[in-house]
Amino acid sequence: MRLKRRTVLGGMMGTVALSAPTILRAQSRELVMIGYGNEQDQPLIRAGEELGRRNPGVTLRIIGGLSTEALAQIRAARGDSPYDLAVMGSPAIINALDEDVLEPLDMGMIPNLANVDPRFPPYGYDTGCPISFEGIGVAYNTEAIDTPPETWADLWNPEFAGRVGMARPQSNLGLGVLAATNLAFDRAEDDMQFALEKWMELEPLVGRSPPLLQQMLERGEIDLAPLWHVNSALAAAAGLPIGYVKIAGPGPLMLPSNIVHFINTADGTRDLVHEFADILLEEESQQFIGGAPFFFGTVREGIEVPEEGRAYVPSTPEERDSMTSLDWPTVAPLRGDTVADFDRMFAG
Amino acid sequence: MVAIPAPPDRQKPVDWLMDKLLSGQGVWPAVPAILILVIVAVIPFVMLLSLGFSDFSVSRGQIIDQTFSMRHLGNVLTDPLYWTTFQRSMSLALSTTAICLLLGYPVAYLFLIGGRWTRRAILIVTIAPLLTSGIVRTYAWLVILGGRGVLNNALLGMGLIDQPLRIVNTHWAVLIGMVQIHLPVMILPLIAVMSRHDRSLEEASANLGASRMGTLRHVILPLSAPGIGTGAALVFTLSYTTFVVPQLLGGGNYLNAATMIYEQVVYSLEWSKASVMSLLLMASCLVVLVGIALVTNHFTRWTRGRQG
Repeated sequence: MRLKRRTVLGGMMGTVALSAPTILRAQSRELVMIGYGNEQDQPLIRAGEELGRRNPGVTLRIIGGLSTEALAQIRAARGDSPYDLAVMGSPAIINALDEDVLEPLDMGMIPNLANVDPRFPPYGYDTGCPISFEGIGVAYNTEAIDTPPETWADLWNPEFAGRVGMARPQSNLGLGVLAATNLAFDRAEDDMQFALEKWMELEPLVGRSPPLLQQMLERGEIDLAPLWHVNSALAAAAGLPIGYVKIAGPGPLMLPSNIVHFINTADGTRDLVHEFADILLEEESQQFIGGAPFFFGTVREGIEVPEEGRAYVPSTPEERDSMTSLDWPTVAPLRGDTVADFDRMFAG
Repeated sequence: MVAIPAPPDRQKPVDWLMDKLLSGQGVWPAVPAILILVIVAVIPFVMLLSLGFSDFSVSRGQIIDQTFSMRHLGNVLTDPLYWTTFQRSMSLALSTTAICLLLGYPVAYLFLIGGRWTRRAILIVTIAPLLTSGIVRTYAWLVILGGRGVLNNALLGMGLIDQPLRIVNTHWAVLIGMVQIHLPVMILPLIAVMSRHDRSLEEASANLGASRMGTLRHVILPLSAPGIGTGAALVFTLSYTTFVVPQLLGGGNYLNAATMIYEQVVYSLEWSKASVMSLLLMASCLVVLVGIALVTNHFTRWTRGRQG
């Protein structure tokens, strides 16, 4: 076929016409956010819809992915963030601050922050606003385990040998579990070599990420593994024989999730991000966040844990009092070196 | 009346460029593709590689203060972890290539000697898996090889084993997945080359008293050397740089070069190490490809000599 100029120009015009809706959509006030990429996004979607009602023309697009992936993408884009905001765990905030890619939120612009339990805001490191928390405990196959461990040290009971799984330390879960292991055996939180050696004793099967670790549990390749309480709750809600224990000594462990705002975003985004965080802290939002099927831990004071969520979220005064987190500013910067040491020991 | 000659047409630059691009002559028609390739592949790759030979700091998401350094290359070359990882990647890719050749060649040969329906069946069976994503095919292996998978259930049902075999999250699971996923890439070039064979050569070989095996060894195999070379090069390259299969079937403590690079870029943000590893991965891949090309060329030259 002989191509004529008219054909080429026609093709180009057709391409422009086809891409016009995308271009027009990009021109509207759309916030792009890094979320979970699964059912856990429901509270964010709901808050995004409310933000749109209050600000006509504003929409929220949630893209599933890890916050560390966002950091790599922002670096690749030379600081021009493809995202406006993210829901980010405390350790990822530490890593993002090292990259200098976060615009600290003005906590005075989030009125509902006044109703938040004072133990949570410090984990936003003057940059992010806490909206929920996830517990790190042990998920187990209820058909294979009669008596699950109650403390971290219990994982080293001989009856669990060869049945335990773990997540790679590149994830917040994997890194947090190593730090918790150190505390369980009276070591400094940052003694990662000791923690790795302790885990070597268990000869664990390793999941490349928490979702893949959860799949290994579901397929019966392991009988128990440290896991986020939300993942465990969702798996149980799907009818899988998966139970969850809130492990003590140290614990119950929690990791706050925060709304953060990236650098170099469009004008007007900043106000919307603050408003979005404020919506998520409203009483109604927090009740939705803490409800079935995900049972996120809520950060607003006075929100009751529903009956069916008490297996996952600390609910009694004793549990709430003993609930703790980790020294993330010390632990998070060790992520790269810990991954390398892990590979030397487990994959070498 | 004197006719005034018309002024010569002065072609506009845009017209001149369009004529060149649409003329179908020389390199011009390929210029748009080359430009896109340079912008989206070559320039970013060079920028990434430059990070492997520099120390830098980051401010507001931007890389600043980039200074030349060989430190990262030295660190990678002296760290046994990287040697182990590359060794694992290389042995995995070479064994995948060898098994694909062993399994793929008989299929291609069957295509050569088979009837019309056999040929159609082989083409459908070979091409159909390519219509699904590699991730889907890898997940299918999880269903087959998992602790509660089809294979273990069958073996347990037959009473051959007491407990499920642990296949997933091992080197063997990765190898099985790699072979299945890359087998069509070996078979298709073989079929393409072997279909061009002059069948009268086989008849001549038989008339001269050669057995079927003799014909295969002395006629068909040498003639299919270009297909073997192409298939081996493709399978090796894909296997050596593969990411999805080890990620899903190997488990969290299985590391090959590609997964390591991915993790250094995305999770550890160790871009200098990742850059050096990318360079080494590309260079070592190129060495093997040159080796395959030389061997193929050797056998092809020999075949051409006989044909001449």
